[in-house]
Amino acid sequence: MSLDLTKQRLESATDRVERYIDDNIMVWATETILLPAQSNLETSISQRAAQALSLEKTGFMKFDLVWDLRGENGEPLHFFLEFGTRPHVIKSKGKEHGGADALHWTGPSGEGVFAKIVNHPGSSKHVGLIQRIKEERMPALQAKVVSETQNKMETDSI
Amino acid sequence: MSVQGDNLKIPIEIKTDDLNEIRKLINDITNAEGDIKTLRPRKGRGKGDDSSRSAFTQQEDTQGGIFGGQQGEALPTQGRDKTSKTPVQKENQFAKLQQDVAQQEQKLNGIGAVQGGLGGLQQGIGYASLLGGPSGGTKALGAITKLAGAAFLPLTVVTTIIGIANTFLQAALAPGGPWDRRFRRQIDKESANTISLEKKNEINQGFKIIRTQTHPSIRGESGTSSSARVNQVYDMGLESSMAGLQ
Repeated sequence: MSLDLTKQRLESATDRVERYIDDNIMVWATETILLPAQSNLETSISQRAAQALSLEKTGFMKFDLVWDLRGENGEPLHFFLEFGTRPHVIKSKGKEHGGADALHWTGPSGEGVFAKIVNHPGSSKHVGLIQRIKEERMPALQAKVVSETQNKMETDSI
Repeated sequence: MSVQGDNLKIPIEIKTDDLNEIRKLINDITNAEGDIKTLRPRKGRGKGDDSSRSAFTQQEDTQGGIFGGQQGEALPTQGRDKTSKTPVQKENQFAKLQQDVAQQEQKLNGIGAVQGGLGGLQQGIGYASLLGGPSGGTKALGAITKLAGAAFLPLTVVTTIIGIANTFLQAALAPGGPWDRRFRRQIDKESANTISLEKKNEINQGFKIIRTQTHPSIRGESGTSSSARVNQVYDMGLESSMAGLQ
């Protein structure tokens, strides 16, 4: 009997603390994870890459760090950046397939460059970037959760 | 990491079991609640009554019930009338008042006795000087007589002043008096000593709530002045204002 009551009381206190954390987790995550991560992405990739990062609540004390960076034609650039790409060949579509006969891009010195085929060397510069951001920022979020919860409980006990 | 749909999603979850500080906090809260429960009145039948089938049989001195194993009395044992249905017998206020009056009278009589004693002392010295005759002892007695005579008036004045001051202090410090000490602040003993007592009172009664928040714009307190709302919404009162409640 005594053990059951102790268990019941423990669950009650745990439930209260966890509900408070769940109510505020998105605000704390925004402050400790999202905003610093967006700042990192803006510096390392682009402002558009930073704006494509967001948070999505998925359950009780759970949320996802979502990255949805698209190209002009809807290509999932976030996958290419996060997982990297192998060396590959890029060909022009051709007019018969609704595209152009030549590829065009702006070179490093600002001049226009045309080519029919490009041998892309692959990309691994940003591999695992979002995962690293999560691992780096998690301690900050946990510290925030602890301090805010302690403050809340102290305020409640006034 | 997951690639559900077309997005890159990295799941993050907070587990209180992984945070030592939170676990400690929960344990502290649980212990504190346990302490509070021991102070509350016990309910239910006594543990030791194995012979009776009645659920309402009162056990006089056994500890138990649904909070079995907890020690200490929930209610004061003094003044408890076990033969009556009322668990605690109230004091007769008139009898208490009578007792207070009697005590005050005793104190006044005490002051009178001191004054009377001084008078008696002087009288005794007078008799002694009459019986003693013209000797060295008579001179000494005369000196004491003079001293007692000189001391009588100041002592009377002092005791009277003390009596008046005592009466005044009791009246001033009594509940409702000008120096009522019940509402004096004890800053060193208060956990949040920058909050006024009025505000604490409002918080305790549920008229105001305090939320700690990371967003500076919604940090601080919110007040709802209407009793029509059961659940308070932290919105700086905007919602209530728009609904015409404030």
